[in-house]
Amino acid sequence: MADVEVRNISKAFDSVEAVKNLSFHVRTGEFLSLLGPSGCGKTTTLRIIAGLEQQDRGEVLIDGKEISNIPVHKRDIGFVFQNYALFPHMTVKENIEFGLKMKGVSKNSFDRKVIDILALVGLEGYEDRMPRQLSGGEQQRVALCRTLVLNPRVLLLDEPLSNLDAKLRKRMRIELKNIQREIKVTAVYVTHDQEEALSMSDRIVVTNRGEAVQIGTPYDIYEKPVSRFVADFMGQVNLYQGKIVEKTGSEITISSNQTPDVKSLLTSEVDRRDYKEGVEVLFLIRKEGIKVLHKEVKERADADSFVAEVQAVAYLGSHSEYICTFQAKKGQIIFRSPATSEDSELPGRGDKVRLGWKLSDVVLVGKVK
Amino acid sequence: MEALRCSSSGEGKVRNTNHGVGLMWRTKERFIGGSLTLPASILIIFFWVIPLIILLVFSFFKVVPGGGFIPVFTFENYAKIFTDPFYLTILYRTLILAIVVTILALIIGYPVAYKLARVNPRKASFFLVLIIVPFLTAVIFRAFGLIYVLGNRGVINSFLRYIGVGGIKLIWNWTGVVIGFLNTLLPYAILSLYSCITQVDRSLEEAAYTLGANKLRTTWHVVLPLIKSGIGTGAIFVFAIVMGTFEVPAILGGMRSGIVESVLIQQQIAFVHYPMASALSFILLLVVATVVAILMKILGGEIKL
Repeated sequence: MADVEVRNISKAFDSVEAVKNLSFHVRTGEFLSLLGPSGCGKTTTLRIIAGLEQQDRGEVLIDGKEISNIPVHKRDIGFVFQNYALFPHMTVKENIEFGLKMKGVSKNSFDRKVIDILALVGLEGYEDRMPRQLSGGEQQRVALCRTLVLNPRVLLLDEPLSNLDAKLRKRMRIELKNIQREIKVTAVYVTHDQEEALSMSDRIVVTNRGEAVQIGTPYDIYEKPVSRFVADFMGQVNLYQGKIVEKTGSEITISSNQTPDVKSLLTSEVDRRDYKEGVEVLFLIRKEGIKVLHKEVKERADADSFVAEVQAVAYLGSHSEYICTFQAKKGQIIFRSPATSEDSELPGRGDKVRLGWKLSDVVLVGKVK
Repeated sequence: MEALRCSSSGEGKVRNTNHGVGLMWRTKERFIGGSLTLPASILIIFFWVIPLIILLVFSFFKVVPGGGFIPVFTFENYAKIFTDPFYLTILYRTLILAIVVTILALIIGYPVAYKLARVNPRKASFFLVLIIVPFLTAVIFRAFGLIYVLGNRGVINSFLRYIGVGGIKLIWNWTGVVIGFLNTLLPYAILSLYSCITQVDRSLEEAAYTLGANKLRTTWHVVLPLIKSGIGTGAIFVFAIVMGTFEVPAILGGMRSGIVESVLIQQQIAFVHYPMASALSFILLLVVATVVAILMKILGGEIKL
């Protein structure tokens, strides 16, 4: 167990800068995700922490000690590879024992350790199988065992679930997180799947083009993105640009050519200072906050409502996704609604609906420069 | 060949909807496919199997003292080889030479093959061409060329004398023969190992490092077991060629280097002892076949020649 600090690391490959001045701190026992599109330098960062890649500048500290000069095999760091990298000529047991052998652990303890670690991931009795006889999920778990049996100070995971099918991926997410919590190992997890990062992480570092663009809890990253990139990447679809036309206390009104004039609330002192009348802003309407209002529309002080026309409906089983356009405005608005509704008929294509949301569902992303 | 077969069998399936025509087509296709191997089969039968049989027959003919032979069946030649210390010694020495060259070629070739497999493919193909170029010159020329490098007045000895170390004997002895063979056969070892190492995923080595193995132990426990077939292929090539090449020992070891091949040539050319030479050839062939079989057994039939 240890904490990891990455300080201002940079790395270029043939003049292409993969990582640019990246810094973050992983607390002891924390599950931190590096999230970003492919080619954003997240895997390179992970490989630098492991020592598989040497940074051009900056330092990596584990428990406050700089480790850049320690070779990979002495770093005590666990690494789970995207393709699992199980040794194909060794049985499951031999794969797990490999690290113990290399570290000079007494052979007497091997059997016990292998049995215990396989039990942890639910693969009892798999000792003598060859990697090629295992399914992707099983290989994944053996790869995890092989690393965890050494009690690494830090566990690094490089898109470990990306080669699994969707259903298994979801199950492994929970399993992986439970194991990490159980053994309380500090973990750094690389992924491009925002759902994976949201569901597993204590904190997320969103990276783009080698730079950290936002660091925060899953809630912060999703609900309060700091830039168009983060909002977009996290799946915020209702993203608009407008101008603050009115400000009364902490309530503002934004005028946009994409949406009707919407109201929002400034929640922090900094926001109240920064967002003045006349400022161009980027804002989003949380898709989860949007509701279809039926006949009796109650006027509420903390809510807004507008009429929109349904352009398309996608039935997704548990719910339906609606794409609507505001009357007389260009902008689209997308939201989800339960697919079945007892008391009313569901709106269809061409129907006019009244959509409502709370003022707190209109989130300011940032100023437009 | 494979591509040809794939496309024609595909067509065969389409035609199968009409049974009569389909059947005819398939028979025809099989005939054509088989007949294409005919030139190779003829070459092997006429120029390898038949001479071998003739050689076998000759090896049982009686040698006439003073030169020549008569077609009388006898085990004398074989008996002589297995009882005369002269022949046993040269057989033994040849075997040892082949084993030494094989092991050295693999050890020296491995780092080169590994590096080639791990640099970017464009760089690798450039160096691969460099490795293959020597194949374009005959062994005999290269062996002669080495005389100017290794000889008593060659490049190395001239340099050593110039700096005042004094000359060393690098030629007309085993050292010369081993260097000569390595020079000729290293490409075989490198290429066989290279093609296998490229199949070993880099992440396997990286996984070994993260599990606490240094480079040496990673090579030993992870890379080498996975390239067994390449080691086997390389070993068979090098071993068989050492056992069958007389130019190198003849030129760099001198005619008296005591290697089977040179004795064989002496028997054949100088003394016209064809039956003796034939018997010796057969024993050589058996030794090579035995070693290849042992290698295949050890490496679990994974060898891809």
